[in-house]
Amino acid sequence: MKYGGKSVVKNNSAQTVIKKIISGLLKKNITPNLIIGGILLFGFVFIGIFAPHVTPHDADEMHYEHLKETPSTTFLLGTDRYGRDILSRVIVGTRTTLLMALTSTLLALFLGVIVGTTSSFYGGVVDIVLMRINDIFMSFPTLIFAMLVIGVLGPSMTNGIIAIGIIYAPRVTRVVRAQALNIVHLEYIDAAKVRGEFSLYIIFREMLPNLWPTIIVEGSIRLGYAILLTASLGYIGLGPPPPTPDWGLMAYSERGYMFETPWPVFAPCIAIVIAVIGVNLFGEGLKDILLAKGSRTKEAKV
Amino acid sequence: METNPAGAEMGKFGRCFMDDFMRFIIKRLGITAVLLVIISMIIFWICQLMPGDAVDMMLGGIALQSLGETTVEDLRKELGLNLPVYQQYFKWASGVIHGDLGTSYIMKAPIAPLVISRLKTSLLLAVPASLMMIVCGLALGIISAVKEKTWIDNSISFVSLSMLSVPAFLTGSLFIYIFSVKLNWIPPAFNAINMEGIGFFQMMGSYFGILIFPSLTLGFESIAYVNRQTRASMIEELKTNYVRTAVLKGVPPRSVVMRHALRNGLLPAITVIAFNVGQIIAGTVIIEAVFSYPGIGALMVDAIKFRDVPLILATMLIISASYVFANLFADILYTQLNPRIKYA
Amino acid sequence: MTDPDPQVLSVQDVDITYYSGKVAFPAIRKVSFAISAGQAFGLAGESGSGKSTLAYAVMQYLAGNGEVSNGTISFGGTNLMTMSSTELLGLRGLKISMVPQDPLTSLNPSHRVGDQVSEILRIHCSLTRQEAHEKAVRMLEQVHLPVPELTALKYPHQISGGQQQRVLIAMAFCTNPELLIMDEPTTGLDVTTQARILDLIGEMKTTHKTAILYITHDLGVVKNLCDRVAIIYAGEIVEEGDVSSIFRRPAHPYTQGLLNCIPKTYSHEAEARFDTIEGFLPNLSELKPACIFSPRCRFAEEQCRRQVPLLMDIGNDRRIKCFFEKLPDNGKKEGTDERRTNVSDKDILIKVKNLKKVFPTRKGDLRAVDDTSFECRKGEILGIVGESGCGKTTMARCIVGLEEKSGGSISFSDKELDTIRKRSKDMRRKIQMVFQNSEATLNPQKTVEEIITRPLALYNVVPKSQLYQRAVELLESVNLGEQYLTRYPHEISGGEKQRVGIARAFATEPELIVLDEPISSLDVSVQAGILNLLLDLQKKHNIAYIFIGHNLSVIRRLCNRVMVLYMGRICEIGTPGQLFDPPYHPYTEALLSAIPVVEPDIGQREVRLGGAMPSAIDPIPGCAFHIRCPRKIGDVCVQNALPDIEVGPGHKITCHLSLDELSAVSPIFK
Repeated sequence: MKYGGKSVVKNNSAQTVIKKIISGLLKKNITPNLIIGGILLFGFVFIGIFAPHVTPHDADEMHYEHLKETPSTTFLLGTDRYGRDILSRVIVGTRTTLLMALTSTLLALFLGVIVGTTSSFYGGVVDIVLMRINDIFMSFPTLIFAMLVIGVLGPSMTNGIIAIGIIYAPRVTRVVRAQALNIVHLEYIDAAKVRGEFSLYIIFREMLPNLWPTIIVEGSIRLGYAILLTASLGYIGLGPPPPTPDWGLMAYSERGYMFETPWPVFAPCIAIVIAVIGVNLFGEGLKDILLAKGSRTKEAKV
Repeated sequence: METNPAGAEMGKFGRCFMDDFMRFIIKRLGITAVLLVIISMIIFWICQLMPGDAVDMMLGGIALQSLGETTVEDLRKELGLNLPVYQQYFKWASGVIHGDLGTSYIMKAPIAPLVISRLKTSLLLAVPASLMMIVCGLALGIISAVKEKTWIDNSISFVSLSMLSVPAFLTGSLFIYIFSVKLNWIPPAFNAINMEGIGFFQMMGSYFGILIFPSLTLGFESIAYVNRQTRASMIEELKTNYVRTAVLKGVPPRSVVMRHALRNGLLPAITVIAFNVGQIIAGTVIIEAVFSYPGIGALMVDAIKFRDVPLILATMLIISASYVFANLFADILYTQLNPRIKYA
Repeated sequence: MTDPDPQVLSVQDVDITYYSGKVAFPAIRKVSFAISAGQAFGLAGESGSGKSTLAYAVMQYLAGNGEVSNGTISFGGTNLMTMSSTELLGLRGLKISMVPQDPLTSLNPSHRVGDQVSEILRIHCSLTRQEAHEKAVRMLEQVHLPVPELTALKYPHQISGGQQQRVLIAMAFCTNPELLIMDEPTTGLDVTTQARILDLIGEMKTTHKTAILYITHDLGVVKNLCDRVAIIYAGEIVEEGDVSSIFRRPAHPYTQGLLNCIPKTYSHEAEARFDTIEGFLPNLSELKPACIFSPRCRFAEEQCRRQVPLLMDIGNDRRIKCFFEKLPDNGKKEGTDERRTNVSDKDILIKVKNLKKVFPTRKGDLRAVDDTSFECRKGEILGIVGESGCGKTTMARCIVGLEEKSGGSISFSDKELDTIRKRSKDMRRKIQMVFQNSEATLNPQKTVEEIITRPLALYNVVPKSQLYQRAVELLESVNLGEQYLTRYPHEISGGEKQRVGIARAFATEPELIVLDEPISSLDVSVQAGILNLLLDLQKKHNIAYIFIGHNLSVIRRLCNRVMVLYMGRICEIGTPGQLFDPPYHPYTEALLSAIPVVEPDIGQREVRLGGAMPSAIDPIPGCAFHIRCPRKIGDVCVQNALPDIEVGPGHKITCHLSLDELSAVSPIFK
């Protein structure tokens, strides 16, 4: 038998992206960004998953003897005016905030990819109409629109996810469409058309595998903003209502007492900052690996 | 025989251009108008989805029960709430065109003057914030790009990244904490300041005293955005072939950056700047909440909390309109600065 | 004591190294040459040879990770490498100018064209704004730009590619530099435009007495423009000397191979296969002490594989880097080739009648294809030739079904064809396409196996169990081994990618393949291999090709019949033999005259076109070519519809001139 064994022809584009990430890591494209960001991000995810078990104290337990204390060995971030351990509350809040941010980002990515790829593939009238609608949605500043939607639907976690997802979807569409437009006129897409492939096949099996790097990088950027938006909504009271612990809400409800005890206000804020920095750094690191533009760049020596 | 054939060509050139320009502006204004109408419709429609209506808001539960059905119905009819939705919309829209934004349920006062004064107060924050964003953002972006991959670039990038990661209410709270609580320089909240009749220098003085921090906080995040975008687009421009041509022509490095690369690198930055003006306008919401500042953002938050529909409509409309106009301005600026579009 | 006249440019024992991480790429090794005043020196090589690197090194403009690690580069006696950046600033643009490669992206899109020229004058010659502007306009006139005062006020996107290149040339010459470096200045330009630019360069060289370093991969251009030439391979100069001498009798095996690879433009000899140079470029990070060309050299001996040869003087002011002073033979392969079978009696496979394709724009309808009719028979190779904008790609896309035609009919085996989605599956299988850009023709996220088995599976060419086998067979038929199946496109070379593309087209066992400039993006030595492959496959499967190209020499060797397109209309159609001899359509004449010919003994009459391509939007009742035609009769060309003139069997010219007038010219090639 002349030929070697049969191969497994599995067009697994996720495999290719993972392979790319691994080869990028092996080629020592690892930037400090990626490491620090990765540690922070996955640290938070870990905390979020295991939240109730990781807290040193119960988040709602009030320690009457230790009201408004500064950080100490027992209460690492101090206590609030009810005697509750701030660190525990922040940890529990991780779960809510991250869950909202992550889910809404995924929703935005999902919608954005579908609209972006369809719009760029079909072009013509479809593209113009979809992009005009997209522009209209982008005419609302994010926070304003979120406020409006939640104002109507009522503050809750699900509504927050839907609102944020819908608001960020147009931005994702823009980015995905821009990248897809670079691909849609390339010869291999024409080759697929000449073969008589169906449009859905071309979009999802020919174009999409080449769009993953853009999508992942955009997703990580959006995640950072989603965390900020979630916290901001909580701050103005339009996030998930109490008793669900949310970082923004925590910062808001304690602000009146900021002069006496800054810790209840700043602790959740610091958590937000670290989480977002982690996500952004990780995103930058991913961008360096996935969207690297060839090895020998001719830089201009000015 | 034409004495100056080139001159005649030039004349044609110039005239053609003015016509095109006017046509372009009018077309853009038309699109903006349509956009605003659609936005107002969307806002109006979303507000209709709110549970309960004005009468419920105005009277509250107990009063509603005690008044009886018929009175409540009469009240509804008087306010025009029993009309179909699109008629309500037209009533409202025609009011807006005439400058009447309705009456607030909660404050029981006409909305238009209220919104205008609040808008002015917010602009006191937004305008300096925008200027700061433009100047600092562009300057830092250009510097980072030219000094790419040096410690200057890395530190600016790191600072930028941090600025983007910090929520506005944190920066605001930090400012308040440091400068009000600890150092006691500034009063933490202020009473509504009457801006009429104050001399210019006094205004400047009170500005620096009170308004600088909210303003700074407002512009903070946007500086980072503009910086990043400018840096990215300048880096791209510095790698292009025409920059290479300029260098090989013997153009001094500073001219290469400022006269060649910047002209083209500025264009994407304009889009980002416009977007961020919108962000600043939206950001007033949070900042005003943090600093207890009586501007239009705070007004909108209250409107939503109290379900004051006409007020919601008015504030949303004003804010969205500012955003749309900022984008329109940026659009026009972009087409003027980009010769490929100006002379298609 | 008189000082010897220093050369304008003297490069001695130069090494250039690039650093990527810890790996060093010795991109240029021990290169030496010199250029005297008024001399045009060509530096010729294929892609990856390092010629551009050398050019930028002279300008001291290497990328951040490259450096000249050895040797000296002297300009008029002064060492350029020891100069400070201020001194260099004074030299660049004034004494040493450069015309870069890509004219379409080398001008600042936001500055007016005239300002970009006058900028140099203001910086280097301290002229006032007014003076500089006036001189800039005079320069634009010198490069034959129309209405220079007006053109100076335009932005780059408002003028054509050829005009942009003229502006760059004006910029280079306006300070009367002593040395001019030109890096492939005619890339991306049509062959007729290229001819005019080359004329211009020759003219400027005589007027300004500038020394020119001309970098190119096109040996024909070197022959027509340069006095001396250095052939560069993988970073080393392998042969250097006087142009006519080298072209007549190449001494280095690589030079010989290159010249043999280029299809002869005009010969009555029997056609042999296209010559190739086997093998690949060496990996520069793993160099061994041996002759750099030995792995690919036909004459290589033990000595060549163990030692690096030195640059040897072989008399007549020629130097080569080889152990052989004289090559044993001239490398030409003998034999005739009856590949071009006679197809005039075969059935008509595809018939195009009055095909029209129109793209609506704001200013009107753009006529890409304007009433063309032709047919292609079974097993025929039909060539379509034309310059950019002539509509050949649009026509190909209509035939294949990617575009919807606006009028006329395309029938295949007597069945009407429409767009792809509306064709029957059987019809889709029978017509396939090979694309131009080898880098974009394969999906980067798919393995070669996935790419080739997909059409096999889609059309049930073989049962599922035999997919793998058939894929291997297809790869072998394009001379690629089984190991390629698991590779991704970024892991294989451009030529190999194109072969995979060809295998993919053949997978469905089609009857007609449309090839849209399949070799234009490849090096000359690689092109020949692909052409031989295409011919072998065609003969074996008896498939018809519609071959679109712009290189007339290739088309001549390849095709049974050729058609010449201009602005969407057919000017002339016939066999290559009929096209290359009179009578000619005036456009064909200009095209033939613009071919950069490599053969040493062929005379080429000069015919040049004036003006530029008119817009395809305004309606043209008469001949589309009349604006540029050197043989225009008068109003009849503008107004009257064109007659078809039957010149001979299967040879048609569409022109207002009579057959006698057309035949009355002397041949382009003697």
